[in-house]
Amino acid sequence: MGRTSRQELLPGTLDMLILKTLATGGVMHGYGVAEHIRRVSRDVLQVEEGSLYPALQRLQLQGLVKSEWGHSANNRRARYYRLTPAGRRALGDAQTSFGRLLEAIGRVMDPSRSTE
Amino acid sequence: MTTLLRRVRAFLRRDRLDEALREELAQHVAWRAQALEAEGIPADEARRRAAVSVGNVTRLREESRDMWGFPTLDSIVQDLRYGARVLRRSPAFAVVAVVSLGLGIGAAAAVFSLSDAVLFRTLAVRDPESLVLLRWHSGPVAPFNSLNGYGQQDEAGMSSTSFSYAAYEAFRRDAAQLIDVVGFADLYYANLAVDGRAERGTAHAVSGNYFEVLGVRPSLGRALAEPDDRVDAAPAAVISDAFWRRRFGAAADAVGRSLDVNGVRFTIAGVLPSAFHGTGQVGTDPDVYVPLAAKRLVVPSDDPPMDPNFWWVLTVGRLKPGVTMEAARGALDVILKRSVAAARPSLAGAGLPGVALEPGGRGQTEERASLRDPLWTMGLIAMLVLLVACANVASLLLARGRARVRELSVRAAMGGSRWRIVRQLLTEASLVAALGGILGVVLAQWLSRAMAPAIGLDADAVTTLTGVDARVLLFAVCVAAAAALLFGVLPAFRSADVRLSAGLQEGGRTGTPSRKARALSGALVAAQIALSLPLVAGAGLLVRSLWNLQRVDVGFDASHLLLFQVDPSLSGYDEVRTRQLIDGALERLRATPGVVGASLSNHKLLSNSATIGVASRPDEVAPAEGSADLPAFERRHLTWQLTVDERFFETMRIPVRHGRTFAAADAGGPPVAVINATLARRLFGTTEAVGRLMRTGSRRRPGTPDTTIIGVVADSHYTNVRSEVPATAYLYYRQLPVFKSAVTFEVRTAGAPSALAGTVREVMRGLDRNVPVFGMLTQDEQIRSLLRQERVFATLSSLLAGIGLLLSAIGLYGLLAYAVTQRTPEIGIRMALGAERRTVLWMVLRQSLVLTAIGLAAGVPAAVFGTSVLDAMLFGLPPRDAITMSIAALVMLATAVAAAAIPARRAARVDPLVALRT
Repeated sequence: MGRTSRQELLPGTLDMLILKTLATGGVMHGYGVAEHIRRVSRDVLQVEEGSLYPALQRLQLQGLVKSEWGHSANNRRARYYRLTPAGRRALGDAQTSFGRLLEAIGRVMDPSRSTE
Repeated sequence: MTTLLRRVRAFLRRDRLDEALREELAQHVAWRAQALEAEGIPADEARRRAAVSVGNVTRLREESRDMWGFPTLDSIVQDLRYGARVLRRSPAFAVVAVVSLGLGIGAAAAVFSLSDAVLFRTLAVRDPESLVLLRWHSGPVAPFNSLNGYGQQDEAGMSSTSFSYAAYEAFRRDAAQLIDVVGFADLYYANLAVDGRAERGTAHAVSGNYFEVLGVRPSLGRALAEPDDRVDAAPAAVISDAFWRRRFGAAADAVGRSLDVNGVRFTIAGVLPSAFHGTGQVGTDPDVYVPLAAKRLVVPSDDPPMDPNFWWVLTVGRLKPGVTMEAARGALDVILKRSVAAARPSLAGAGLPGVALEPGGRGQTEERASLRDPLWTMGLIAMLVLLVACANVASLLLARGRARVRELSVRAAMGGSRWRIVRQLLTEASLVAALGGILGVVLAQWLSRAMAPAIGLDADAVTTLTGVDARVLLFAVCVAAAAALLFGVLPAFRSADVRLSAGLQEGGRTGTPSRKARALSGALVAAQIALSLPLVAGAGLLVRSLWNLQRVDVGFDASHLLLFQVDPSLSGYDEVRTRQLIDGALERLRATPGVVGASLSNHKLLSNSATIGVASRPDEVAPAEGSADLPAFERRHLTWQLTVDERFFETMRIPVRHGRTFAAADAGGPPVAVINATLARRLFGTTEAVGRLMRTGSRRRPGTPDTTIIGVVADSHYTNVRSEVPATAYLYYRQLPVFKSAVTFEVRTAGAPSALAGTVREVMRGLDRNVPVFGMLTQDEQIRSLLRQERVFATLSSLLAGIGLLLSAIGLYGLLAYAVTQRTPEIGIRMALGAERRTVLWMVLRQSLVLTAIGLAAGVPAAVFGTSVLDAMLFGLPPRDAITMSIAALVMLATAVAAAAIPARRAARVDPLVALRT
């Protein structure tokens, strides 16, 4: 089932990925967000629908994301999500701290880089 | 903040949001399926995979619902709705559970409401916490000649809350810096007449500062004040709210109208608030309050109120701000000693009484103390019933949990978390508890009234004390919540512990209870039996004790006797007129057709009322007045005295053993007495005492002649049937001062005594319609009312024990019926292999008996220990009576057999063919 190629998400990163996806993709529906993450990560990151929708709800509740109903290309009713200004700020914060985290992990895994 | 706003909005629109999510997810699945199809997967398989990838939609929806807002509130409403539906679907379970809990909670709430009213409620006055009661303690020598009120006396000394008026005045005058002292006196019954219509009511006399110091404001008119409490003041009185409603229909113009109290005209100055019931004993609610100075007018027959050796004033003190109880006590102590030393110089030096202070916010204490034990016992009984009910509901819930294994498994499979299922089950338990609580409050209203006589409150007190108020409601809520926890938690966790696969499997193995679960239900049933045994044993003891009391030979012929009382002194009769009235009454009654005989006495027999004095042989020298040996001498020579007329023994049919009874010729002669056999034996060692001399009273004026005994009669009960027949001296009413209180007439009738009641009233009205007849009843009724407390207690405890027994039977029946259903295939196999029906019957019966035996083993020690609280109430039974215990155990066993009967028969009727095919 190709499970080996998929990667468990680090806890807390799903919200960030959603925010990033909406920041680049503009207005998207839930399925689109999941597909985008899968595609961009080259099938490595598989977003579980079981966590995606609750995460979208949570972000909406925190005011980071807004939703509205619209019609998809094939004229089906769908809910579209967009980033709010607060969401954009939150994404910035998350990216900075995630970057620091990655850097720190990198230093631990490869001590030679920490000499400078 | 904005998050909260969004949350509230989401909560309000939660149904729409839920719908949106459902739609969104459906759309998602459709797209996914489309994408998979595009990859070349067949349509069916694509749809299936898409659905699997989304996973558990229900759980998703629930999760986001929880996120949106107020998940608990939301799902509680949902749980409640679901719970109500479940209860409606199984009405038998619902009714048994709710009724059994309602009975338990009702009993507990009734006891609570009585305890609250009797033991804990404070007086309806300003700042009750700063009130104190004054009590004196002395050595064994009495510091007074006569005392009105409650007194305690033992070897060490005496104590009471009644003071002389002189002492009360000194308290007010000399301790004014430290404490405000108010005085009052219970005048007991009074003849209250409005517009010439008389009725018997109750009255208190109160000091001029009473209402001001207590801070009681009248709801109408004014309260009594200092100027009213003077000997020369115009007589003014205030009335209680209840009396105002009863006699004046709550008319505003009642103030200013006149009210005759024992024939003395008072003007009504005001009406008191409904919450105020005076400062007397618990349960008293005087109709009228007159000034202390008016007591002399209202009760002229009493000793002179200003006599420093007549102690009758009850007191309540209010400590001044910043004054400690000890400082006030010290000052009052000095004042009392000074006052008593002035009145009784013989006591000075040694035995002067001292003052003690007690918290006074709840009024007088003596009656309250006597109610505490019966209340405690009732509380214990109610608690047992509640526990049995809880165990019963728990076992019902457990059984239902097993019956619902499938439903619960489905819920779990649909994504219900374990905690969610536990919560659902707990909500159902709470719903049962809430309904039980409501029923309990309704029952408590009635039960507290039914219980009041059982703890010894009289009918007058019941109306002022019973009822359901906010505190009782709160109590019922707490009890219901505690009960829900008690019976709900265990079954909920047990039942939520379902294994999916097992629960959903088809076939007979569904939900076979684990060993642990079986043990738990067995334990619950055994617990019900163990808890019911003390109830049944206690009820058995009380019923047998009542039976014994009812069979006591009273010593006179109680049938065909009509009793009634009059009190001419309350209508202003003097000595001469009283004699004329009672002699006229006797004469006319004896001439009335249907009357066999009529007599009178100064106490009603078997009504807990008596005159108790001292009688000794003239050669037994009484210790001197004031001597420390005097109280012991008096205790040794206590004699019950009854003043009667010539025909008393004949009318009551008390056999005369020796000598004769009174004759009119004795009227002017030397004092004579008839004594009963017990007194004769105590004084002379023999019943042949005619002609011997007896000395009554220990404080005699010199020169008073001794009393000659003219006859000895058989023993008969005087005050009650519980105690031994007292040593009794009968005195002749024509040789004594006239009755200062009620006179009792005894009328022996040919037919049914109550049939003559109207005629007798007519006769008395014909003599003087201003002298009301009261307390008319037959002697049999009097004995019944004497045993009222015992009877009500026995009835109530039997009722509650019956409930406990019934609940245990239901628990046992439920368990056995379930076990038989479970074991039907096994029973089928046994029967197919040749087991006889008898064996199968016995198998079920044995299970019932084993559980009962376990319950009894636990219950017997509980019963032996628990029924010891009844010891003081029992009559004619040894404590921990083995016979009653055995009967109670047998009753439990019989119940166990009865409960097993239906399941056992069902088991025996199992058709092996049918059982094995399914």
